[in-house]
Amino acid sequence: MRNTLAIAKREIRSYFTSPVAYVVTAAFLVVTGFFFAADLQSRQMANLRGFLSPGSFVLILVAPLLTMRLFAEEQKMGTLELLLTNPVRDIEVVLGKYLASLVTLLVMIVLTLYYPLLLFWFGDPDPGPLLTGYLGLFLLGSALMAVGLLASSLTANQIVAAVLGLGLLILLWVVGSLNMTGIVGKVLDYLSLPGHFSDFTFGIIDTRNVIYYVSVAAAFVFLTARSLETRRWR
Amino acid sequence: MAVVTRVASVFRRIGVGFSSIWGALRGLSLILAGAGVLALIASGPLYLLVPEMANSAIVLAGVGVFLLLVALLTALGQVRTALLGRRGRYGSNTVLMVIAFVGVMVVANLLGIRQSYRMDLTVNKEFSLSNKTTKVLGDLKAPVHALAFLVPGDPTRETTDNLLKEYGHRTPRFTYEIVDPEANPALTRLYEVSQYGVIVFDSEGHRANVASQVTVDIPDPSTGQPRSQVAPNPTLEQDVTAAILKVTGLKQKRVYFLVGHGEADISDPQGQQGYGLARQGLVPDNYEIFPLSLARVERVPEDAAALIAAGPRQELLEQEKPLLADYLNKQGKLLLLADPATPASWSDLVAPWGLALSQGRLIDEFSYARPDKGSPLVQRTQYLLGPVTKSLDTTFFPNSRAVDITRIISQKKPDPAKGEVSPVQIVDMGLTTPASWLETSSGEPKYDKETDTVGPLPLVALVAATAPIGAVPPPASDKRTRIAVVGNSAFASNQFFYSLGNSDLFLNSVNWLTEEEELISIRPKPFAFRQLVVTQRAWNWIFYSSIAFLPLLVAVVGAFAWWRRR
Repeated sequence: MRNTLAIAKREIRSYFTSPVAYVVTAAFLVVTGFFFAADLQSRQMANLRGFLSPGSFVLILVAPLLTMRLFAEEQKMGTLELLLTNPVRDIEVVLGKYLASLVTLLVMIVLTLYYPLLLFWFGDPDPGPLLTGYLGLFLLGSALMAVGLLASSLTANQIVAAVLGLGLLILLWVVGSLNMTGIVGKVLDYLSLPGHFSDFTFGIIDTRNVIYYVSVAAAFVFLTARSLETRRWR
Repeated sequence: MAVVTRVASVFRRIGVGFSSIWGALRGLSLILAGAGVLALIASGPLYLLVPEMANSAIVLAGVGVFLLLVALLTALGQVRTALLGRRGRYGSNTVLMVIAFVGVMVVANLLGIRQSYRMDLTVNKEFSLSNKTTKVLGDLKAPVHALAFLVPGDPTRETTDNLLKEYGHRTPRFTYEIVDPEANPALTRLYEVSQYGVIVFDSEGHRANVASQVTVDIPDPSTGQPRSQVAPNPTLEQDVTAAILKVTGLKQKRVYFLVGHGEADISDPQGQQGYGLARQGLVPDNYEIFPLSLARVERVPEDAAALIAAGPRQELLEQEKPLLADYLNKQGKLLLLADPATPASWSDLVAPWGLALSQGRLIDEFSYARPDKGSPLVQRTQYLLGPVTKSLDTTFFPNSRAVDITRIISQKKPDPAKGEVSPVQIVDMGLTTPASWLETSSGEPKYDKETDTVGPLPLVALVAATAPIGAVPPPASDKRTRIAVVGNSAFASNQFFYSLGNSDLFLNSVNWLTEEEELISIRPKPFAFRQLVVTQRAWNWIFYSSIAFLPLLVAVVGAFAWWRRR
């Protein structure tokens, strides 16, 4: 546990001393700010749906950029072997880096709290959907980060990691819009990332959606640990 | 001899040829394997997405399998090392672990689907079904299928889908589908759908329609002119439940508001004394609400699940009295909201049942809605906490009189040994505090021991009776007359309906009267459409600060961190 935290701390520090996190966060805020304000102006409704729906999609563009560095850089610089042969266990390394990425996600999301603040300042929004919207955003983000984490562990090249992560995420995003029938259609619909998000924007917490996002995050973190393990005997 | 040699050499050459082909194949084994895998992968989507080429897809899959087998055979030695060598064992170990983990995730999700819970955190509980809907769906015997004719771009599609999905969750007998009218003209014509956003309900041939949308006018932000916009039907859930009741042949319960004696107007949702909000409050419980003029009918309608007299100011007409008395005698249900101005004939109406309306205004010095002592505030603890008031929040009653229940209390005590029971029983009640009295003189309220009755006094009384006071109760019947009397009508008027627990008292009393106690609840209070209406300057601030303020802040912090690192 202590090792995990130490690794996380180190990773967080290097996140916030590199320009990538700032540039990505600033870009995220510009884009979501625009969607928020434009939707508010056109529909004039005091809720966050104008921000949350496009924001969730922007998040899948952002997640690979934030996670591409986590393992790829270590592989490139050759420090990964060192990290893995320490008395530190593989899983602690994986969890530590994942935790760091979650903290960055959290910081980015917390900054967008400015939008609901504006809503409360100028209007009378329903607080329930605001709360659940943020919960959903964080859960979605955690799943996206896990996918990016895996992509990063598969290659030493950060660009390749980002592209791979993006590819995987887009696949999981569009799999629900194929409109297929039957049991295959139902399975694909369930696997779709945005399908489980809209309930949160309406103020509903459905255990199925929570379980889905947690499973996706867990599965990809697990796969990352296994992919690291294969390095030992590659 | 030469022939044998010749043949042998041909065979030898063929053998050499074969082994060189074999050798060539072995080198190609990777490519063959790759081609085989590609063929298999391609056959899957082909089969699923292009049904016309299903046979070709199967053939392709077959070719893929064949190529894989050939690759396997030619590279048998390598395959063996791969699977059984050290790396191979690690590899298969990992694959098994991954399969196991993914399997656990799949099971967890399946369990989650089977036993899911939904929490609705909206203030209005917009996404939870009302008690009435839950009850109707729980009792549903016949299958109901709904077809929502919504084009893909319809703004009400998502809310309609969410709502109907909730219905489907409650009972397998309710099914629905969303139909694109433009892609299914035959179906659209079959159900005679001619507008956008119609939901058709069908149960064994019986049909009903519900509109999923309404048009509202909202001011256009740039021109200020009203602009028509399509909005989701605000009473969609009630309409859907009503349609289900209709197509399955179940009747909605009818509640009649008496008119002709100066009662409050149920068609007025805006005036302070109107009862429009009270009427609207009854809609989610799927009541059909009608005014009833007793002077014009021969008898109270058979289908009257309850009668409501909302603050009558004039006497009952002679010919109306026997109609009501008759209705009450036959297990009728009455809600009487009587003000100090309500005349005596109304008190006489409920007298056979042990109830009377006390003369005078109720003043409560201890518990009143400031600043008026003539508006008694009745807290939770002042209620009997029976079926109607058990979860009630505070209520208050501007300008009220008391309900006299002394005759009920002083009924002949029944002999339990003989199985006797009082004909009239108090089911629920609300009292004023001991610091209250009935003020009989006009002017400043002051307690006068000579003329004023001291509290605690009943303000709200609900009774159930098998027979009038003094009459012999019929043998073991579970049919009851139910009467609820409140010494005030203003508490449920538009001005005060949604204050504190007033609406709940009114609605729960009606639920109790119509014998639908399972609907009794504390209902969330509706809020206005959450529109954001601000000045142009405010819009500009919102826009520019959202786009520029935060990102700039981040950029500045980033630059600072970078500079520090240098």
